[in-house]
Amino acid sequence: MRKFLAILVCRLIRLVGGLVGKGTSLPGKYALKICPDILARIQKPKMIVAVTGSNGKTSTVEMIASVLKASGKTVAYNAEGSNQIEGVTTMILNSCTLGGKMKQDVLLIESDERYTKYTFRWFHQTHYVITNLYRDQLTRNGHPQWVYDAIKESVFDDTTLLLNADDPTVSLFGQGRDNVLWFGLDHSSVDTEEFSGAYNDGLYCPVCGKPLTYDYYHFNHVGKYRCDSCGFRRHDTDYTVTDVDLENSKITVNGKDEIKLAFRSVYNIYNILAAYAVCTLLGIPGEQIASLVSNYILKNGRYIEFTLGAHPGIFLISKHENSISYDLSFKFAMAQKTPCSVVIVVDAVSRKYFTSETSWLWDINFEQLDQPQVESIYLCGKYCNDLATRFSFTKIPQEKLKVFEDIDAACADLREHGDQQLYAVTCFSDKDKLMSNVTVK
Amino acid sequence: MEVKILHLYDDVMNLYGEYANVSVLARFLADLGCTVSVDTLSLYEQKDISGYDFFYMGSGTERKQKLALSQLVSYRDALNAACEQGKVLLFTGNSFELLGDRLTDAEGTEYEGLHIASFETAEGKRRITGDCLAVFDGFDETLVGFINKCSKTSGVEQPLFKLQMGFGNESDRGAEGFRKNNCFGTHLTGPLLVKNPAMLRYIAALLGAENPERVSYPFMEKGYEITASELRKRLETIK
Repeated sequence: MRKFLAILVCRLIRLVGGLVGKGTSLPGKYALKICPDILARIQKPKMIVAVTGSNGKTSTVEMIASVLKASGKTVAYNAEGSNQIEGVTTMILNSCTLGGKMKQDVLLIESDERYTKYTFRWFHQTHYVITNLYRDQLTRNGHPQWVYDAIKESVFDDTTLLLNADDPTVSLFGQGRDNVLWFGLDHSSVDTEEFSGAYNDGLYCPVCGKPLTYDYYHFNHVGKYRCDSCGFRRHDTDYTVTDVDLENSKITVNGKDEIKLAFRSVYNIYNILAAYAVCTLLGIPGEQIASLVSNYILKNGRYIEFTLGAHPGIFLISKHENSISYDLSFKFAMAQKTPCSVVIVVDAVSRKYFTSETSWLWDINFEQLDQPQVESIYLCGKYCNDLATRFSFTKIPQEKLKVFEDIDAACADLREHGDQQLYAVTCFSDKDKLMSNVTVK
Repeated sequence: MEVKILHLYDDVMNLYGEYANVSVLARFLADLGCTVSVDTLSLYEQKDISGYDFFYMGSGTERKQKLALSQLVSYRDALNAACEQGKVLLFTGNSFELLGDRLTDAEGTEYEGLHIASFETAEGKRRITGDCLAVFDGFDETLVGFINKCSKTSGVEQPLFKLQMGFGNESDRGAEGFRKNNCFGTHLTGPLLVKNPAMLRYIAALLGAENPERVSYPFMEKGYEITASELRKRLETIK
């Protein structure tokens, strides 16, 4: 009876909330109050896939869902912004019958990395994708090792793990267990032998603390590593990007399936590979997956083309408090080799909570922008002075810097001057402050 | 004048951009006419650390902090001597915990500290984070910063700051950090000396730079003012 009531209340609140444009976590919150173990009581699909990690959760889930639907499978999944237990509950109770039975083939859950242990307290995921663990929102998360410990509480013996082999911290989850499937990149054209980045989280072995040795880096501390002291090493992979050809916007998976990239960046390759792995496990042929994710344009608006005056521009949505997302955005921008200006906005550090913390600016490898094709760099928003101070510690000629606390004024300046390509790099929290000044293509 | 800086374990204790404390201090001292040298002590490296004027160490994960401590204990006498001689030591974030007698992790394992002071720290399972406003008796400006820890420190005889906002040694809004002679420990993380130009001047003066007010960095000053004003506004709303 409580189960039925919880489902009913959840749906009613969702319905009313939907009409007034309210969020997706409130209905689940009330359902959990009525019936705290509701998630255990729902009859769920045989296949329950969870995706967690610092970056790429939403993109990975979106691609998996898209491939499954296009392949005739039914899937219940949560959209961005509702990845804690309340949002997951809302999604599940709105996807089941009033009697509490889910009829879909797959339950697919994006799970917040710090709170995933609460979601999986009541049931176990059959497959668990862990994308990466980077320095991300440290004002809430503490640090990647802290998040690792939090995720660890949601890693069960009966769950098959799908792990990013190239990330040493993620690989730790696979230590001492057999039911692990690994995904990663082979040695490819994007690799470097030298480390690049403002800090190196891959210097020491996460198992024994002795130095790690890298054969090569894909980016930052992600690459092929080994510890000569304890034997911890990058694991061989079951799902592999065997070739990366960014020039022709394509990758090859497992030596046979060619996937076209909508966005010429290493940024999304791991998400595509994780999606490929999950869909393969669900019995979808590799070439079918490849064709469905080829040229896939993510709906979550992380890459947007626009014009501002005579300037063509590209938004590269990154995440504040997440240096690797910035590093990869700059890497993409600099690889295009076109004369350009870069616009960086740090105005509200987060859209969800208050903080004035700007330490993370020191973790971003702004040195990448020290290129002749960069004509100017606009540093905008409330924290423009902190950005300018950070830039004063790079080799970038300081006369290239233009500092504007007022974002509209920065855009007005750009509108009046020049026609070079723009790369605008900022976070969701500050995106609209720029968007209101430009014309989206 | 010559100033020799030693950055301790910059390779592991660098979680929140702390290297910037050393970068900005080195630049500031040089701009004030000092001859500055910066050396680092890497994990597992052994070297003579006498002769330095300024020692700095930043934050690490709880595991890396223990790893750093396992190496740092061999420098216990040298660091105690430096503190007694009035050398300047700045330990920010959880490296501050290493200055005390003892550190206990969340599982109850005990680690012996540097014994520069007699305080003790106990780690827990809860992350304690938040923006800070801190009052220091060395100058008028209120310091801005961020605390990111999972521990409580008790038995500090001479705290460094009094907090208006944030979580102090006992995780309350009260006394924060530790001072003995010119040895400073604080749980404020990140580039403290970038965020707080007054603290940068204070440290430079301790290191013998004359009239540090002569040199200032406008973006840093303005950045400080904006953050301080944001935090004061925030303090009003949460009071």
